[in-house]
Amino acid sequence: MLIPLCFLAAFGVALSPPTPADPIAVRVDQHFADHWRKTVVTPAPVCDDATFLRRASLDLLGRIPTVAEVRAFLADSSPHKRTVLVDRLLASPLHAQHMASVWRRVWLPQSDAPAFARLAPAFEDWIAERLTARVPYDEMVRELLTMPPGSLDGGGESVSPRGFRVANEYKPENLAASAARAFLGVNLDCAQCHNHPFAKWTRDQFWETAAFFARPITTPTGIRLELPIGETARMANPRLLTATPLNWPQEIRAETGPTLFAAWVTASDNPFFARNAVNRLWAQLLGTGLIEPLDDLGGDAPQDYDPVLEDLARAFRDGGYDFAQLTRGIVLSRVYQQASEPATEVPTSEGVAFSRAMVRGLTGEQLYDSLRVAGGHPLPESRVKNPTRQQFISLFQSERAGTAQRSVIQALTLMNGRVVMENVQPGLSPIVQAVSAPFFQEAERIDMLFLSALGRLPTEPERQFLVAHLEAGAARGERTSALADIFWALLNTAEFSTNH
Amino acid sequence: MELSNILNRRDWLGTAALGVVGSSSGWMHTLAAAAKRPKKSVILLWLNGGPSTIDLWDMKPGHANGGPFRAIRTPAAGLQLSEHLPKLAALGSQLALVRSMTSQEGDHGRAAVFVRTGYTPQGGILFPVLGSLVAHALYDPANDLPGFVSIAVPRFATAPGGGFLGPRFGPLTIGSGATSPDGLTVPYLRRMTGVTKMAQVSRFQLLQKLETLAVKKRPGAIADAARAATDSAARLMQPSATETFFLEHEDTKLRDAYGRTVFGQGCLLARRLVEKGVSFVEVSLDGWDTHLNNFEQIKGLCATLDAGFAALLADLQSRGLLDSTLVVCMGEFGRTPKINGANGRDHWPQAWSVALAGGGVPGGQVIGKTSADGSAVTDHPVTVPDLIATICTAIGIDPSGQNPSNVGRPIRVADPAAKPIQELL
Repeated sequence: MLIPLCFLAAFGVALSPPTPADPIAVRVDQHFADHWRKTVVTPAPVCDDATFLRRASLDLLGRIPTVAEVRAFLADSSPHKRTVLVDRLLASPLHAQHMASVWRRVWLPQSDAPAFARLAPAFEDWIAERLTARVPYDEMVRELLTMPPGSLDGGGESVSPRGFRVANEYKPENLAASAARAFLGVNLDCAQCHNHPFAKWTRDQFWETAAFFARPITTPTGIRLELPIGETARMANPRLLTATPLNWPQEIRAETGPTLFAAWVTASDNPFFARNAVNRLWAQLLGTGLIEPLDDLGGDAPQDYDPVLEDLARAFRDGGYDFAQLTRGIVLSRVYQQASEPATEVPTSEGVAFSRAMVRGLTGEQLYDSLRVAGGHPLPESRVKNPTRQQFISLFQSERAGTAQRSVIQALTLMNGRVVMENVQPGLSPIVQAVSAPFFQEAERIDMLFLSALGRLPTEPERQFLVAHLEAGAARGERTSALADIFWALLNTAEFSTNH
Repeated sequence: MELSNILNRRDWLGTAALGVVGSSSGWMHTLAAAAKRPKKSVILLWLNGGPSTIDLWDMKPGHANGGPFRAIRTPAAGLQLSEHLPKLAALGSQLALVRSMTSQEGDHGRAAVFVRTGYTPQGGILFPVLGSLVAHALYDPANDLPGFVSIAVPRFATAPGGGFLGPRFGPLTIGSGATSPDGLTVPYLRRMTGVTKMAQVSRFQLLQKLETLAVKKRPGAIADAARAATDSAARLMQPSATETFFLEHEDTKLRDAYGRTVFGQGCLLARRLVEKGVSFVEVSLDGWDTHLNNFEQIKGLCATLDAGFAALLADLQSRGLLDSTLVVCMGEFGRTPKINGANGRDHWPQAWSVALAGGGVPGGQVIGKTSADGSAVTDHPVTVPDLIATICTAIGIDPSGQNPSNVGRPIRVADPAAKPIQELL
């Protein structure tokens, strides 16, 4: 049974979140309102405040909110509090650090493998520094792609995108394939050896793209950039994937090819550049890209959400490639703020993308930092260089954490490992210590554990059940261990381990 | 069945499984059935680095490429092995050798992915390894142990896991990078220090109740998978499952026979796991990338391989498990027949060998042939997909079965071009 939106509105169902208009959010909302009308789908209602705070904190800061943050947000009666919150989160130094780990994984996926893990800290520091300074995205990409190769080794500076060259082993074919995938959402890998069976890229196009990263060679007719096409005897010269003319300088130098390529990648008329960034940020914030797979923007598959993507890409470009502005618009849109529960008992919206919030997995970074916050521990100053955190993260590594499924070893780590032990063991856990204080009622203790772990108050059945358990423990003189057991259980729920 | 009934019926402290947290996907409901051995299992002995099969299974005595090792007879006519595999040679009538493996992948990373998944690495498709394919096809929800266990994975090995089948069918890894048999343990399998059995049960009960109260509110595959993993982990913590990893329960003489090495004790652990119904166990032996000083290194590696492999076959047979357990021994490629200037051998995917035993595969036979110098396959070429299809068929999995993948189209268990080796079935 399908209910038109206007009827829902008439019955007082909240259709828009109580926020003042963000121009980008308004456009997203308009697209989706049209889309739901056309497809006769009822989207989920807007989520409650506690859910929004937890989701936005995980997405923008990479950690759950603290008890104090939850209490303050729930008590705030301002109608604009979500907008105020988002602006505060976007301005936090943690936001740049969190997004640095997100983009590092996209731009330098090799650094999740042991062989190149050493590159991650400097690369993340570089991204975080540029984001903090609000350097436009196109400038960052040009800097990353055009670093002259000769100056890369040896330099001891800690903030640098040089990891991109190193992780691609300075090979033109690796650099081209990685750049196309990360910054254009175009997957050329298959075309390296043969014409792509499902997309339009040819093997020649692959090597012509790679040739931009070739070392200049001197020939009788002048200095040239060229590469052999795979194992064949033919040579490829630099040529773009679109029919854009190239402005070759008089003299070809080492940085000429990368500079021309980077200029084309980041040009305002490049059909993929802004769309790829928007699509990847959207996928990061909503779990699914407007176009999937994320590295197949050049594909021929019909795209339901192309108008949204196009509109957001234009706004991103016109706004000077400012990630903070784009993020603000997406996070304040209604589609981001939907609940994860379906709109109705009738499963009409089951499987319909974006009709409700997708329950997503957490990265190792999000999980570790959230566990520390939940336990009442301070976050370490330098997160990237904390060995315990690094070890934990490497156990929870996955290509795309939002859709990654948990393994048995990961579950064992959460049930029996050191990080959770420091959150539950009396004497080690600040939160268990705090709620053991004598002046609380049992229900207040349960509420605090819920706020710490799940960022919400317990439901009445949850509270009743746990108060009874706690009272029984207290009667045996074992209140503290009962509190530890309850907190352990909360940290091992699927709710704690997901972003919903 | 109600979750609370499962809790009551299946006491965590008792012998059987417990559905700790439950998943809304419904597989929990089959828990009441007792775990039973699958019809067949596979033990893969993975020789990491690319074994010099010309010095193991396909000797070329008398030829300049043959090196210093002698070939010795086995009870099976025409089946000779290296003199450094004497224990296996005695079991020659159980071995089937494929001497005509051929592939084009000569890079460790790409070849390891190819040989273990049966597919050439190609952008975007997350091919699962054979162990995950088998664990998925033979999945038994009543077993407290996971379907795929990987033992002693070398530290920097390329190890793709469950791929598009998801980590639920990825390997439970034991003793990764272990340098002694004491390292063959499951990380974090023990309860936290100071937590009694009773306290642990209390924690599980609290967790189960909380999930029951919340389960309808948190829909989705990711939440289901988190609950399923927690469930599997809790089942693995049960004494009956944990006990599987206690090698000290084995007879000292038997442990000695396997060899007191990580690999030897890993083979013994593999037998214990197969006995408990695990459908795929992989045991790695690293060090086969013998570019330098090949023969000295191979001699040492053979002592470890020979003891572990032969003891495994004998042990499986004495327990009546050999017919239902297919043992496969291979690496990512072979090595150059021509001996290089450093008395070593380099990568050679063009012609190499695989050894198989048990699982109903007729032993004492040799499939295919290489040229006199060992450099090329001259008879019955077998591709990696052919081998994958053979292994699947031997244990009752249809190689042409399809799995949904991460790229929006189904992918077959084995490459559609694969032809199972009829002589082995």
